[in-house]
Amino acid sequence: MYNYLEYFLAALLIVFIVIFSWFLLNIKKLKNL
Amino acid sequence: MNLSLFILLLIVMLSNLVSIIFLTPMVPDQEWAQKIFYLHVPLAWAGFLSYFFVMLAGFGYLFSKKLEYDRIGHAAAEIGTIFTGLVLVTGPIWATPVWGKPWVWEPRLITTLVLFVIYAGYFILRNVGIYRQRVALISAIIGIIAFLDIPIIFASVNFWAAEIQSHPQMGMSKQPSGILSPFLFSLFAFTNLMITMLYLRMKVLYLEDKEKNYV
Repeated sequence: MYNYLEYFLAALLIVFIVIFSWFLLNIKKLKNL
Repeated sequence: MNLSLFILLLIVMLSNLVSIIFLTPMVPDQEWAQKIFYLHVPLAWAGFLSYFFVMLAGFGYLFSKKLEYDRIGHAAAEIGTIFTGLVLVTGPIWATPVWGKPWVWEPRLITTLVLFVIYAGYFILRNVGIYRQRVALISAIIGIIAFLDIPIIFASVNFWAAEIQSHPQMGMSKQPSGILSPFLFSLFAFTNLMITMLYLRMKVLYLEDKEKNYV
């Protein structure tokens, strides 16, 4: 039975990576200013 | 204050993740793919709310000419664009198994893509290197005009030929409560995320302006 788990994980991973990198970048900027 | 805000956000986002993975019911035929919906729709909502702030900030700048409003608009536009970008990525991931193809040229998808492209233009414009107040003025005007696309996105489901619509979002309230409450919690969590991001980005932009002696 195919349950499409990999599609969900892909979406979750992309959302997580983008938002997490955004936070890292901005916290880094905040510290440098 | 800052750290406690982040910790609170982290707790809300983690509980949201747990709720999406473990507490939501499996929908027959779509299985896990359906759970993308708990990310996709709240991201779209938070992105549109963010663009709403861009419009408000645009009016604020036009009336007061204070750079503070421009910073709100800039930060909100950036976050809105990140969220809309993620909507445009998670949508096709969901559509691949469910529709059989990642993209169809239906009105809601096209209008959302147009919104994304308008804001891509907004950021190109911000970086052309004209002086600060001029950038703020033009950005405010574009931010207000670009927002007009959002009612069109919402109405697009009813606007154009019904037979080419693939979006089933009308009648969300008729969903069983097993889906509705985690969905509402996810909306709440992503709204929180958006507001925290806005707060952080505005702080960074303020410090950048301060460094360049605009403040």
